[in-house]
Amino acid sequence: MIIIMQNECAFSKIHPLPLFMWFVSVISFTVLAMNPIIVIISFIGAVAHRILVSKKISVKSIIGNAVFMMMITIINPLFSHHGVTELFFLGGLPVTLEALIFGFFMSIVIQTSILWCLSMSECMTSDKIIHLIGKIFPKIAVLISLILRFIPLMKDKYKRIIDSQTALGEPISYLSAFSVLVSIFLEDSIDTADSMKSRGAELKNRTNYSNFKFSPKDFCFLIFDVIICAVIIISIKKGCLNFSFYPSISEIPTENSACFSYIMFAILAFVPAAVEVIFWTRFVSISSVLNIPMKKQKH
Amino acid sequence: MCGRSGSGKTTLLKLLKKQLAPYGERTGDIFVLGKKIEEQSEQESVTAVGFVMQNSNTSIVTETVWRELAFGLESLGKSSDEIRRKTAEISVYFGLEPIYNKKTEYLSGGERQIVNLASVMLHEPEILLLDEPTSRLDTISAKKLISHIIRLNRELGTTVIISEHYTDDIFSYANRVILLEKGKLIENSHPKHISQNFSEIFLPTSARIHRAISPNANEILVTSAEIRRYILDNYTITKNIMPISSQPEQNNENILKIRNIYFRYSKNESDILTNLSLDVKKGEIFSIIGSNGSGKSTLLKIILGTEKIYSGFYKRSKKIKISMLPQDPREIFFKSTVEEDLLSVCDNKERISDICEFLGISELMSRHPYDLSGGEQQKTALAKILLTSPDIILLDEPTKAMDFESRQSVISIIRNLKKSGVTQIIVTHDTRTASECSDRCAFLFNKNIVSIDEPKRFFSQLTYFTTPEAQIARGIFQNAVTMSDVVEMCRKNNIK
Repeated sequence: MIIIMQNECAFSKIHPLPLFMWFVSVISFTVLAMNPIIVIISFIGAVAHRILVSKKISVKSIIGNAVFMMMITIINPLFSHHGVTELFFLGGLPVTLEALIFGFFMSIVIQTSILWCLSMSECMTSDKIIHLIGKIFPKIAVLISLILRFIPLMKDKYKRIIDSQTALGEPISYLSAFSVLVSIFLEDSIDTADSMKSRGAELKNRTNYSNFKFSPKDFCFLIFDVIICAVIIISIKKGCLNFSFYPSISEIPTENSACFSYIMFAILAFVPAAVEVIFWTRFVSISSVLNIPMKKQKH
Repeated sequence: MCGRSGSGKTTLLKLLKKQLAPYGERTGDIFVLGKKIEEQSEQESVTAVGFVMQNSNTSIVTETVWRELAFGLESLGKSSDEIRRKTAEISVYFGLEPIYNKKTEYLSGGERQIVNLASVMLHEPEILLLDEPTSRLDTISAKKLISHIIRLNRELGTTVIISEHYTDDIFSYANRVILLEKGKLIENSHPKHISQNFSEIFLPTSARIHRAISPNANEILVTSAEIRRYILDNYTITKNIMPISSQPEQNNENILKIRNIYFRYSKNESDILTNLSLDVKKGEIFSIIGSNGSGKSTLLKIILGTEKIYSGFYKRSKKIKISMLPQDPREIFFKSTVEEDLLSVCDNKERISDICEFLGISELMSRHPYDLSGGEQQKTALAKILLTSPDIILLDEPTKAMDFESRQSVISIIRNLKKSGVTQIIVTHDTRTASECSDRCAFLFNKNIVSIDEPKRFFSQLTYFTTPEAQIARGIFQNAVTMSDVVEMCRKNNIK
């Protein structure tokens, strides 16, 4: 029996719809707002969530990420020569302070988006994606589920074919192994199709069932998300958060309305980390009081 | 429903379900619940008749158990609340709660087949059709599935039509037994009143033993308990130990040596095998039994060298050639006819025809490997392996999903191969195959080999995971584990 332990993420317990909305809104603000404060808040929120979920910090990954960020920082001024503050000339072309800062800014944006996408892929499991799609297109949901079933099945079969071929002592031909895989797969699909037909796959009016229930909590979270998004979108529209890198770096907006937006965004971006902290403190305190050994949930 | 492979059992079953009816010409009428099958609506046919197929793996459609259960109800357009209630109910009924959230790829064969049964039963069908549902399962999982089916019949009154090669577990529960031969119905009666010419290969072990020891008896004994009572009532048991024929001492040279090996598929998974040691002697037939998913096939892959152990000692000598007959013989067919396929490993035509003659597959040469029956595919694959002239052959479930006769012929091939000096290692969950053809048996349980012995002693020491014959002889005849053993022991004792 294969049991794969996964990092447990308390944030993922929220209903897929608000969860998906949340990720979409945070990632789009990070990428589209073009405001350093927003990006930095988002970056800290993402790092905090990653650390709380994986519960360890690996030096290797920090170095790797730092190198990646530095590369983007350095590459941008080599290709972009906008900006007024010339630092030095390289091959007759100016390297500007603005381009360097913009490169650094972009590196944080990309890094933050990657971190949020990582969290998203952990939280939005295939179940949840099927649920979201299935509400609108039930047949596509079945198709995705079928594919998800077949991928591991085919991978396993492919390995078996290679093994059996090795056992014959023949030189391994990946092409012929693949053609055998396809033949077996097509033959077996007839059975699967029969099984689907006999359980009514051809009937009209298919519905989509999922284990997820939309609770009042989820509804509140959705409303909370929508309100904050509205506030930030309004301030972006009004130009309160405008910031420009070229030709020269503008001042960071710090009016009351901008600050209000920053606070709102911070609340939004720190939700996953906060949920994680609340969940673990509660869980640990209860288990330590009752002296229950800590168990990791099996997926 | 009994009948040889190709007698039309599956075709008949599929004709009873509108969605699965094979294409072709049909005369005559089929009435399902009093209605002609053509007049049934799609919806009626889906819900009134449930169909469980032989291959539990290919009949699972989706990736998680709960989605698989919900699949049929989604098709009928049920609301989420109803689906939630019904899947919950059926999971409790079939004991699926522990695996409800699991991925279907991680289920064992037995679990998969119960999920299949449960997902069919969610439609609450009046008629349940099962096409050899236990043929790919180990004894214990098979019994569990059968007990679920019997329970459905007894508690809900579901009509059950089941086709099986081995009838030990269900014969006594059947209200009617039918026998098909070449597409014709030749027997249709109550199991207790079966005619004398009913082929004995479809009878349960108890009835077969009964027929062998008293050929003139009219009565059919359908359970192990009945035949045990019969033997105890009719025989004065004086000789109760079956002598174990001490085989001429073979060379004790070990061809394989495995010492304290540990294996797991990847770092984050748990061990599949721990601290396992094993010796295989040259020229012997060594069987490893164990339930579905106990790590038997993994052990074969380690011996073959396609999986690497992370601790322990096992070295495959380059001088020894090891070949494996895979569980699914289709994995080694690459060409479009049997002949081309065999020619691809050996160009000596004489040798090919010799081996094909030995295996009895000479007339299959021009056929496509995929068109052969399970037994024929198995033999063709074996031919291909023999052509590579191996020193050790690994056989992974060689008798899986086979009818009585194909199985017997595979067993006799295995025995004959021994004469040519080939070492054979068989892994199987079929205790009968292991008891009939091996020199030594091993029991793989909890990631390790828990016992190794000569088959007669081995199986008579086990009570639950053993051959039906050994269960019948338990406490009466020691070391009698096959049909011929039990019959021989009866003949040695006097009738009262």
